[in-house]
Amino acid sequence: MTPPCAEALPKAGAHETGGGACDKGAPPLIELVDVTKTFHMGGLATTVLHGVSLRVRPGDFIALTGSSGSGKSTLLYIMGLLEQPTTGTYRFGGRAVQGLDDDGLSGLRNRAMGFVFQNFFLIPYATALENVMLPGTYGDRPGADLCDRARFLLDKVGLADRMHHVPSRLSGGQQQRVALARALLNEPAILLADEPTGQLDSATSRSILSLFSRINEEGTTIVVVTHNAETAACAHTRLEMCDGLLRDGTRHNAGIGPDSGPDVLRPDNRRNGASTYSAPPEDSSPSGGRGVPA
Amino acid sequence: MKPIRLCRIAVQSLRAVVAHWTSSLFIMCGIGLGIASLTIILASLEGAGRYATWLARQFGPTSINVTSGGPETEALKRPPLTVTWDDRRRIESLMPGVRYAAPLLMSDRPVLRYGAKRYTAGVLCGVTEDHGGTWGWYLDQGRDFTAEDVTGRAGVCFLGSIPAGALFGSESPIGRMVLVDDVPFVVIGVLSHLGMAGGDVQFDDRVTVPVTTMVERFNLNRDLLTQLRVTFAAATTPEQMREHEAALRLLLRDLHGLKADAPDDFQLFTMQAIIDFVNLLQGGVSVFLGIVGVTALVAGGFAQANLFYLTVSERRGEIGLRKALGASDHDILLQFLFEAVLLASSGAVLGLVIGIGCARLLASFDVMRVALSPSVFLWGFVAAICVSLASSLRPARKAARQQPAAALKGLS
Repeated sequence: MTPPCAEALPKAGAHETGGGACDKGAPPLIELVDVTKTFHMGGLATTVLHGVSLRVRPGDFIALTGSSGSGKSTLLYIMGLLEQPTTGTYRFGGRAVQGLDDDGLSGLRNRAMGFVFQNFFLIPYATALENVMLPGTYGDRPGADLCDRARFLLDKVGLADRMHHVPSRLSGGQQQRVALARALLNEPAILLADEPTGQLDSATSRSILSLFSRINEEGTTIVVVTHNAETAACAHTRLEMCDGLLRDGTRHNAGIGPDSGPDVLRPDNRRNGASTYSAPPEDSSPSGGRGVPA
Repeated sequence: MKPIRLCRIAVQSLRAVVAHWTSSLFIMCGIGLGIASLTIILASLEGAGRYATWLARQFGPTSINVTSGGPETEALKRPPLTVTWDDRRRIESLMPGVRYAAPLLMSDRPVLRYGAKRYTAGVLCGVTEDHGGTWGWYLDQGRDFTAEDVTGRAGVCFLGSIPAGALFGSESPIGRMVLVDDVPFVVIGVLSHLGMAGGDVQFDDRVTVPVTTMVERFNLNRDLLTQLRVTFAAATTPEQMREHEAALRLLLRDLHGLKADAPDDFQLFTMQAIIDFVNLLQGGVSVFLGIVGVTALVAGGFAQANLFYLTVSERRGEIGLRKALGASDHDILLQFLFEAVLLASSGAVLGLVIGIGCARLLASFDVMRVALSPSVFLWGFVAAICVSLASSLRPARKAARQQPAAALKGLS
């Protein structure tokens, strides 16, 4: 058994995460440095993220928890390139994404990311198979290839016999399985889930969570936002958000060296010191490490 | 962008249009009604234009019609008769290039009777032989008047299509005897149907008899005529026609003994005058109808813009999802524009069907003439798609620029 990465990295800087399938030597898939997010609504500025630094390594399974309004969803959507940070840097696969235009961002979402939402967000008039194939609309893969892949995924999530049903004829759990298959269509590097079990009963939740675990074991990185303890327990790393700052949920102070030397990820200690961590020198990986599928 | 991606987005648009069929239907109707009114307008203008051309050709490029009464008497239902049989003789003998001057005498509202049926026709006309060749108006059934009919003051007549229908229905009137103001006539022909001419002139509501018979049986003035049709040799050029027209005017003024400062007591009509008149009328009407049609279409466009805005806010979740799955702003914009084009095309088809149906219906009641040419379809389509794209561009851009996270996070 592979030990948890975090424990193998006693001087974890920025939130180092890791789980069973985590490749501790690999460069981070996602690297957030001092990310803030401020929303402007009717002239009123509301800061939701106060400077979050986080590294997600390939193979991680992270649960982001926290009370509502703590900024965990916003963090997830920033990771998913659906929102832009106000300040701070975001590198995906070693590449800074701030320089990308809309086509670049949407292409990256299409190829490298899979999304699962609390409300499933299935197209109501399309069958399960068509819903799973939907991301293919915005890519270049041939139709037959997409169809084969979609059938394979529906079979994998246990809906082989429901392929041609529209969402209204599927239960909530089945709908979320369709959404999960859809997220996996383009073999994403990372799966981002926003309260995936929020609308499901506990038995159904458990079956969805076991699917998540299986997908993670097969190598897909997962970040899941939840306030369900059972869901969070499934993840290998649990990070807690509080008032726009990250707090380690499982490993209080473990591997945190306040004086771990000069580093790009050195915390900006004007704010809550618990929210940012410095990284050990050996960890400041060069850009362009493990590339994302391009 | 690769064609395959365009096709896939177009398929998504089609599915969305079908899935949101109620709002699609409303948008289609909005566009469709605009196109329908435009179709009716174009069809009626086209019909009027063709009719004018037909009328002018019927009239013949080498004929001049002389009508009794000066321009100031035009408002009168029946102007005083000023053209005479003597004028006819003089024109035929004095003017070079004249083939013939055909007389026409008209009187109002003859009462026709056939058995127990009774019908009051619009007008009784007296003409000479070869009605078809002279007036460019041939018979549907029966035979034309001969020189013998005219010289022998034969009791024969043609019926226009309206009195023929009123008295005989679907059976043939040929050989039957009708009473025209109590004078018996044998029907020898039925005039071809011309249809509505505009205003209160109904060409088809007439009975035509030899002019000699008419003068004698109805005891009319033996000198006066309503009209003279002066026809020149077929090879006469338009320039020569203008000269003939001027010469004819001088001759008639001389024959009528008009002083230099007196106005004409007759009017001359040429094919060119008819075309000019119709063009003038049509031009004014075209502008008016054009404004009405375009207004209807623009109103449809506003309705579509409004409904499209609603659609975009209703489908925020879908837009957010598509962006999460990798749709770029362009993809979303294209999807909505495709939807607009689809709605516009189907709206145009709907509008054309409604428009053509209404135009046919109006034509069948003789309210107006319609003609449908491919240009009607082309313009209908082009107009619908332009209006639709113009009105959906802003909502589609709004959709494309929408921030996905808000819609996806919210419990929409």
